[in-house]
Amino acid sequence: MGAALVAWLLACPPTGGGLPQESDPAWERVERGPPAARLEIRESDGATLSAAGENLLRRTGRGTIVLRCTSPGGPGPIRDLASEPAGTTFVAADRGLFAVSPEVEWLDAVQPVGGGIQGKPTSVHVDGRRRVWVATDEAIAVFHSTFSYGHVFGREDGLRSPGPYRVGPGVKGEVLVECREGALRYRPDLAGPVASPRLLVDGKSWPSGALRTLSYGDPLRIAVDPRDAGEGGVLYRIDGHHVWRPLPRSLDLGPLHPGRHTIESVSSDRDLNLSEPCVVHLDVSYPPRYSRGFLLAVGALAGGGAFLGFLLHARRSARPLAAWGQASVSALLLLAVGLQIVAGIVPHARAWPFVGFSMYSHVYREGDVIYRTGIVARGEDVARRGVAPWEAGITYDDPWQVYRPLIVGGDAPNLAFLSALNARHPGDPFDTLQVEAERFRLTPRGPIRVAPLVLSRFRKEGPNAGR
Amino acid sequence: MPAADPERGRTPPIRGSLAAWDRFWFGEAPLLRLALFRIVVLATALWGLRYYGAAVEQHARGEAAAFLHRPWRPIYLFEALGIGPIGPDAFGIVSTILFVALGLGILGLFTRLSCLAAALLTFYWVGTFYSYGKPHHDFVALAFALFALPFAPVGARLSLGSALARWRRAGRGGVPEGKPEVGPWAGLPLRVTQVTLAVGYFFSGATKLVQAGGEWINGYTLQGMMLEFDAPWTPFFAQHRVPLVLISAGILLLQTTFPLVLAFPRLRWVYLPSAALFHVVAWKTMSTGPFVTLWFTFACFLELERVPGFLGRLLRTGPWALRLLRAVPIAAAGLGILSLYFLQVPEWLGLGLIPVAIAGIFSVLPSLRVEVRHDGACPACRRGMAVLSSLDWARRLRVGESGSLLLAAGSRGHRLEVLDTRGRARTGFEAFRALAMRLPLLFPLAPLLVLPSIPRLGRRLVHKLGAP
Repeated sequence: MGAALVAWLLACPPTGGGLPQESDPAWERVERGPPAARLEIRESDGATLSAAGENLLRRTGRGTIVLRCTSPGGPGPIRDLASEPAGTTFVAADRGLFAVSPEVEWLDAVQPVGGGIQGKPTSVHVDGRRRVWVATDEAIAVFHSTFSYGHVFGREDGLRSPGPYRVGPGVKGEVLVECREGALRYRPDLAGPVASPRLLVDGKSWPSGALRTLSYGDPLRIAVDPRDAGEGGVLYRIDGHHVWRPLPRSLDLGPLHPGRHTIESVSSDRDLNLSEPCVVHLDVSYPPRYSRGFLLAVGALAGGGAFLGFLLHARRSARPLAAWGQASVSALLLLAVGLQIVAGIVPHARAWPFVGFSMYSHVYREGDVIYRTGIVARGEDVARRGVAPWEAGITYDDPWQVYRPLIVGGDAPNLAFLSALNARHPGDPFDTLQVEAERFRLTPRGPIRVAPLVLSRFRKEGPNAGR
Repeated sequence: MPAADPERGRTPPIRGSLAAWDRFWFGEAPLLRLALFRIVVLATALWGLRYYGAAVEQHARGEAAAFLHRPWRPIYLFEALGIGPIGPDAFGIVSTILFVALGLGILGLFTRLSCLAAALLTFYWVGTFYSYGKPHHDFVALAFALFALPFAPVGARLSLGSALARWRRAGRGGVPEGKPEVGPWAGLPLRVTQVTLAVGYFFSGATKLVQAGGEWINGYTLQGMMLEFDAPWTPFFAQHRVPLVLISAGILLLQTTFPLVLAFPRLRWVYLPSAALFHVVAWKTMSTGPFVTLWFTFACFLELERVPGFLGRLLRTGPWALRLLRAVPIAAAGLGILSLYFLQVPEWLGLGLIPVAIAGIFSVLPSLRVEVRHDGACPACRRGMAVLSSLDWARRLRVGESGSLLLAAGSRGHRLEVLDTRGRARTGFEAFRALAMRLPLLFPLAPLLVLPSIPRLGRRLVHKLGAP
């Protein structure tokens, strides 16, 4: 009891609660805060970016250009720059966080899922795991590099001093924070493995890996057990999608297509470390109207009726056998054309060759961002270039059948893909793979290419091996 | 006494919508058109067999499983029938049978059976590919065309089967050159394909209108769809929004009104080139693939048997400059279609096109016309004429019976005489050489037949064989 009291006293900040508690070993006070804001940065071989007021300049051997901005008012005064190994440079400016990459000449606002953080960005830092740390005058947050999820630090995370904040890199991979009351060092990833979330499926606790069967159209509600909120929240994805998304307290999933589905859910800690997934397998059966018996019965009724009708029509034929044949084929034709029309009205691709045509029926509007995903490879002596999956000697229906394993499958698929690629290109030994989503913003002046999202990065060997 | 009623024994004409239905689907149509359509459809299926072949094979062998995600999500019919993923052994068997069925169907041997086998196995082939990915629209019309073929007299013309039947019939005293021109049910596969295409295009446009409304033509939509793909023409087309508004409107108009081509066949002159252009632009801007399996089925709208004559007239009439002007796009279109086709199909199969090309050239050369006379009472001569008639792809031979004149001249009655447009008559080896110059399949032999010593050997051979 006495020891606990001493520990509590030691953990208490000396000045009434501004700086973090020492009981949270991730935080500690330091003498010196983050280095000064970086207003000039090496962007790529032969190119530097430098901030000058509200302008960002790119200097290359061919001259200097002022990068433009897709936001109408521009970025505002630029406060800090940070680059990540995959090539993107993040720009902290008064009007938000922006991104740019060597291939593009436009700054584009980064919009994290869920609205991002409050305040004007003051600084940005990307650590070795490609987490983007952003400080504003009101908050500190860390985002996954796809900006699909992140975490805003608060008092419950040990950050008790008010802003304005600044973040920057420490010497050993830690994050240095400057706040109103001094400087702090934050060491991420100290906590142990993150516990998997427990899910409630339709209000009932659900063990990971269990199978749930339901009929097409049945409602399905997924919720997080209130005991498992997790510091960074709970994320989910369906059918191995490459992007984890925040799982709200409760999520009503719309009618899932018939067939097998997988819902994975992970807990995230405040440093965006993910737990092992809690998996819910779903087997969505076809609705009764698609059951074999029902369809056979309806088909037989419709076909039989049509057959009889046509037979009646041909009853005066001098060749009864031919009349029967013609009536049969007429009934088949009526069914085939009828089913084509039904498929057009109620589209469902799996009924091929009776298919609908809902592809390409969505709408894009001004300001939308278009994603064009692809693989980029490079080697020690091989320049970066786009690589189509078929260059590894495979054929596929949808390139995402290759992208997804590369993004979410860990090292094994990346190594296998590199091996297959290098076997077919012995003169170009690649050692690095990135799955990138090129991005284009639609504007009245035409599409503007903006910084890509690097969805995954893998390096086979060398000092930066792995992800 | 009233004249004999040619319609006697047939179904009396019935008016009304059901009669119209019968006429539409089962009415008479040129058998040559059907035969050409059969060859186009099966050749297109062969293209599809190759197009999806590598993927199906890799799926069957489970190749690249470390980095290629292959969930088996069967199409509904497979699920209902309990058809599972294909294995490597089954792949070998199915691909061999399918290739043989397509080959026999194209050549016209056991034609209906071959077409049925080709339809079933192509369905299985494509369905397997789609079950490992997403179903697409490129094989819909082809699938229906394939399944419709066995219902029609697909082997009545341009088939080894019909040639053999003619040969046998000639031996039994039938007319050797007699070929049926039209037949009932011959239009069925063409109609099925036409309706499928019309339904497909209509719902493509209608779904866009229903789900997106008029906003679909805002230009940004098409721009965004193009930008999702790194295709060669994307940078050019996606740059400017206003032309994309016009193109979007054009696409909607084309798709929603496509069924008009069923009611007004002349509109095919507008719709078919527009649809082909649409697919080419979609391929080059959105990486949709060439959609060869779809737009080769446009052949169902064409009077295929009249195409050579039509092209011949274009190239034979008018001033030379105009002919040249017409020849350039025709040649470009022909080369474009062939190059697309041989993207997937082994080039050696292109050898089969050489006689077709020769036939096309011969068919516009009136000077090659000849009359072939034979002894109508001689079964061997009639069989010979049946063979010649089958080989006459350029329609340069006119068959006539020689009667007693030649019988009297010949010692054994096995005589054949070839009369050219100048009235010159040839018999024996010279007759054979003259025919080789006019029959596309024999044409490669023709240069050999003028080499020194060959005529002498040929005459001896003919004399030894005793005919003609």
